[in-house]
Amino acid sequence: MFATLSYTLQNSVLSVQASDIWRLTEGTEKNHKSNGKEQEKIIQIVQSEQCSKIILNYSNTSTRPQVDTKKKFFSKKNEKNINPSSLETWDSLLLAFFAIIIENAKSARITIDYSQLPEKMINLLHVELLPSNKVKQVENSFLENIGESTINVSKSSLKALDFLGEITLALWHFFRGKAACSSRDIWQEIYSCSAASLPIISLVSLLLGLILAFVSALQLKVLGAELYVASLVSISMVRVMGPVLTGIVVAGKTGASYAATIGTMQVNEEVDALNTFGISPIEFLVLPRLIALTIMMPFLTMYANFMGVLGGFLVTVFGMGISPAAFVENVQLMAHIDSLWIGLLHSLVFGFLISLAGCYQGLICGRSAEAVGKATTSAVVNSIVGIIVATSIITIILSINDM
Amino acid sequence: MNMKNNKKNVIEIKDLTLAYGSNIIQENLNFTVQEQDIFVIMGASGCGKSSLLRVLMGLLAPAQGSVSYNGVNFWAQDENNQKKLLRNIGVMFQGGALWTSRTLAENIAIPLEHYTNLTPKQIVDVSRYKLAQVGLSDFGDYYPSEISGGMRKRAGIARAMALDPQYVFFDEPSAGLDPISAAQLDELILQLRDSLGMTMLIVSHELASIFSIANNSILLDAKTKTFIAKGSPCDLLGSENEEVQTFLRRGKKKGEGTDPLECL
Repeated sequence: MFATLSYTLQNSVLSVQASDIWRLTEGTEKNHKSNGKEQEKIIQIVQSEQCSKIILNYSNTSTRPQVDTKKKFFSKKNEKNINPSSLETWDSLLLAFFAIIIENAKSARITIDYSQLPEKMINLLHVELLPSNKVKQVENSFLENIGESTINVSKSSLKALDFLGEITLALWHFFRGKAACSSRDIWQEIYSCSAASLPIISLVSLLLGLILAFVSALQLKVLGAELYVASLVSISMVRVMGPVLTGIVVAGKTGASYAATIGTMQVNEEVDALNTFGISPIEFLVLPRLIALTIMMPFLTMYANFMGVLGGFLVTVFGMGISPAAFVENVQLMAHIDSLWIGLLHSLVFGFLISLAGCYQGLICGRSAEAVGKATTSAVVNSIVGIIVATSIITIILSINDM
Repeated sequence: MNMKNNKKNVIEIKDLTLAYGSNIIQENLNFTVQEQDIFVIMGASGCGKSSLLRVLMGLLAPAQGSVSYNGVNFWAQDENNQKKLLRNIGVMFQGGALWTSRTLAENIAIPLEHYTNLTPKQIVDVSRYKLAQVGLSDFGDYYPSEISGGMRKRAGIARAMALDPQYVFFDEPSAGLDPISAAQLDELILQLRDSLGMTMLIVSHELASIFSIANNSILLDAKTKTFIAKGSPCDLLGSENEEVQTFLRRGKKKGEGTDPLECL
């Protein structure tokens, strides 16, 4: 028989009678539901203080359903161990219900008679369900929240400025040869941020070159100026698209890995260990990454430019029947070397921004796995926003100067 | 006891208050650590032991009060002088906190490269010796992720000792270790103190290890937000304070259960 529950209320004495098998994993849905209703009623009686004394009672009259020994899932040897009769006929299911009654009774100052309960059960019933007032969670009002987040904004921007200042100092130390970063670290970072990203940059920029060529060919055909696809693809790749595309790929790949690596070091107290040795984490961790990525971004961009132009070349030569010589001539005629310099300037700035965002988010990362995830996301978002904003600023400055 | 009184006070904590924002963790802490002490900071989980250690090792600014090393107030110094003071401090973090992108030997070599003018060959020799001291001579070329937790702790000690500091701080050195490794670690701490004359400050709540190595201690309490006892752990066993008794006797009162000293 599964759990049954009944109660009587006489002369302001509430007697709660639970019987049979009260176990979490046994009992049907219907059975639990009907018991649940009874439980609610009992709690209501206690809460409305209709009684002055509660007698808790538990008895088991039924025999437990035995495990079906005909099933051959278990060998004879193990049978004894899985025989549930070695367990009590009640578990937390009943304890939780009694504990709630007791909690309510305490706050209503109703006395409880435990004497009818098995001794084993009484020992487990002395738990404090209600949170004690020792640990207070301070809840802020709406206005306080607004105020706090405003203060936090100014605090975090000060923090970021502080970081920039420290970077500047670290760079100053570096150029005087006094920084705590070794050339070996820089070489290692150079390798991991550049060579490792070549395959994905090849694919993406080659495809971008193809797309640019196809889309512009459609329009230029109308004017009979298909030849100009060559210079259009080359100039747009070299001047803006190449650097921006490389920036976005690197932000997702290298910037995110910077944030995750340094963030995890923060979680493992590795950054603290550096601090206690008096070794600046900025010089030891940030500087090699910053220098490596700022140096390598222009090279990566040049490679992306090459792949993009190659994509345009393939479309014009094999798709539109323009001769390779005509392609080269058109590019030479229209494109200016300045476009290349402008593109490389972009990439230099992007490299700086991406490593800055990645390392900063890593260093301010909290001490949990979730915080590392957040730091990584923020690093990528900040880098991409930074890339777009920087591009617009550079474009505006250059257009003012007629370049 | 007479010996003890001749010793110099090397770490002095005065009116120290620890807080995160407006949430006060511990206040009015006053104690001194003497030369070559093995000083244990005890207390239940969450009472602020690790925060106190963070203040002592320069990672967390105190809300109030001072921490002096050899009479120099750490938190009143500028950043450069703080760094100089930190050079005298070695720290073993709870999980070892080894730099995971470096081998064990390199972990020890980094502070040496940073602070000494030794030749690369000498640095390799010293780091190999330090690893041998903690019984890890075979593992110099291993990365921290390739060795066990106990080994990582020992490597953490080797790194904390890298610069032969005057003070060594341990954050729960024996937590999570099997009894044999924990005992070996205690033995190692005693050996290093005796032969190198360092002053050790240990945050711990492992009673077995506390009774076997500490010669002085304080017991922090989360409720009163300050320390409730001060003295050598064996002396504290005779304390009248009930909280002290229950802490040192694993939740039992004086006279109940086995005496902790008998277990050793």
